[in-house]
Amino acid sequence: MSHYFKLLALEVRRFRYILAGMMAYALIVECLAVAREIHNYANRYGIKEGTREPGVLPQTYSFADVIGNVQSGFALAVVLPLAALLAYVLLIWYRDWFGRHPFAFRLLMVPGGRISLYFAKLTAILLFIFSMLAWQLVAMAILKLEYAVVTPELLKESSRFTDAMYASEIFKLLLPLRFTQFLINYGMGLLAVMLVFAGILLERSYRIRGIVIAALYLALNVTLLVLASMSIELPLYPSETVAVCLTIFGLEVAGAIWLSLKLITGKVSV
Amino acid sequence: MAELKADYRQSVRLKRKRIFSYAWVGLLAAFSIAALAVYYGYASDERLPGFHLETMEGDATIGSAIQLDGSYVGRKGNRTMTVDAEGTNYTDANRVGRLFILPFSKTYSAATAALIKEHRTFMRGKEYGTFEQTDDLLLYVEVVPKKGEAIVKLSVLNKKTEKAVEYSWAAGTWKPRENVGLADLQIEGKHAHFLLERYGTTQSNMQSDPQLFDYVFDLTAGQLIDTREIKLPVQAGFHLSVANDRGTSINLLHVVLFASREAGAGKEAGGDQSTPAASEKAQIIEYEPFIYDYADGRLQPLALTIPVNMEHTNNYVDGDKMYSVTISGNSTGWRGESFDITETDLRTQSETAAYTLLASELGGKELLMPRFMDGKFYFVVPGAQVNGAMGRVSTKVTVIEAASGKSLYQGQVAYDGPSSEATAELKDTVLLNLELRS
Repeated sequence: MSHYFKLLALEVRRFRYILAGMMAYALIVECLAVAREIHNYANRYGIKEGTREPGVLPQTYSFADVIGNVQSGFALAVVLPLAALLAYVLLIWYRDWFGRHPFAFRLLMVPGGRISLYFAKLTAILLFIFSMLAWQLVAMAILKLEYAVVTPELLKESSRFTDAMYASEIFKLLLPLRFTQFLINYGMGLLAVMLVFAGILLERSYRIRGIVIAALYLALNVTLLVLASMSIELPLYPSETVAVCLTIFGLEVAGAIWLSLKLITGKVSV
Repeated sequence: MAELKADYRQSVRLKRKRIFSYAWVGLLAAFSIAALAVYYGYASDERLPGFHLETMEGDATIGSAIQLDGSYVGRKGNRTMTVDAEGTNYTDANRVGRLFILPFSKTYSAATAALIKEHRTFMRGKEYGTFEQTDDLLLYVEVVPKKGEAIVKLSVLNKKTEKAVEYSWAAGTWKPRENVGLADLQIEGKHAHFLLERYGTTQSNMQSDPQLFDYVFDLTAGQLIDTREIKLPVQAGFHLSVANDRGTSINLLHVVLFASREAGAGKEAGGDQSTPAASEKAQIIEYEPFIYDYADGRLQPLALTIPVNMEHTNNYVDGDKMYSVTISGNSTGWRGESFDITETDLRTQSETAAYTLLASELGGKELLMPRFMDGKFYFVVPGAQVNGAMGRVSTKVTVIEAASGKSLYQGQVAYDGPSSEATAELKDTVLLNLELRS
């Protein structure tokens, strides 16, 4: 267990500056987008310049309205870190094979087995993803403070935090209001990461042949998932369809772990 | 000694560094768990507003069989929901990423859900067809196309033994651009009657030359014993509408058929032809009602008074009585400010009762076309905008005795939360569809 924690700490340490950078980037872009939107809206009513027509009351602009109208700003803030995280799913393995004296040589020779290495990398990816999600929630709280400071009194209108979250298309996907939906989205995400890990280990084990096998393996898993989703057409009750889907999901997760551990313990070499 | 001290200091530094690196992991994990737990603890689905159907007056057991369907269009987007006496059920799922989502979001109609609860094995895969039941039997029928033929698939469940038997038979051809469907299903003693309607469609999707067949099935012998074609004595080019029996009587079974014919030019005596709406309205020039008796297969013309606003009339048969519900006053689609209701005795062909129901008397601005079941009308009174104030009054349900118009039940949708929030939450709640569990 201590090997696992050491390796996990190592992975986190290696990525900490990039993670901090992504968090800072997301916050700055979102703060700028919100400030710009409020500024533009206030200008439309001449509030900032003091050219407002007397007697004309401007339409109030709640925090949820602001978030709803800065979709592109939020997309810019979220998509880049998301792409970086997706790229790191590959890099977390391949960076160890780079260079004249690959670090993978030392990692694979660490006493205590290679199983810890696999789970440390998997946990690290999940930790980065959930940290970014948590940071988005903190960022929203900061943005709400910014709204309170920047918005002219005439435009202010109270709104719930969850209303603001639901106003953003990207948060509907990343942080859905329904917890079941959250579990489904990230369960599928976890499975995708595991399948990619298995694909990488196949490639590291069998090189060119491994790429072909990995492609076939991924295609098989995707087909099974599609078949599972099509089980709604069968004369089954919803609870039974869910059970079929969860069984296939469980089998795929177990299969990916089994294959990855088999490869990392017996096949992968530098 | 100095060397030892230096080694010790270095060892302490290394230990601190290691602890610090672990701290990063702990910090990120704690941060993630705490933020997501607070978010989902606060913003989970349970935080969506809850409502229930509250009995204001009359028999509460009537209210317990009612379910209202609609949506909550408030702060968290458009969410489909059902409200009944027990509470609220949000039936949708966020449709982002459809894989694995559909099983969570599948819903059944209130009546089908009630049948599934009672006969789970029999009801498997039975959803889109027609049901009919007596105290002992539950029938399910579907008409499906197969190799150019219309196949009637019948499932009969003995409710006492929970044993089911399946039957099927070919009911003629099913050509392209032809519609074949079940217009009525009735159980008459040991016989079941399947009224099959078959018609082609014109370019403008209108019915053309409808044909009606009564398939008589012996439930005891488990075989089809007769096929009767019901030929309406009207000129070609008519349309057909069917008023089914929705009553409890199993001895007096008949169906009322309305044949209507279009006039080509669209001219209405004394009518205004200047607007397109007027000319459209003028296209239907006559209705010819007929009564078909299931027991002896007799078809007879009916001498009924056809309401002027027939295109906004629904007819319901209950044994010997037929109830016509016509929208009067300002009407939009199938809703209006008042409804004229008449009761007709089908044997004597005379009007036996007539009354008008005003939305204003039921605490609303308009009424929706009702549901009819076992001699009762179930009206939804939508939550209308409150004059001079923000928000709406809540949706109401009124159940009346069809024959007399006597109120049997009155209920309203009530908010489960604090009364200070009620107006705002009810404003965002639209419940327009009424379903009955039986």
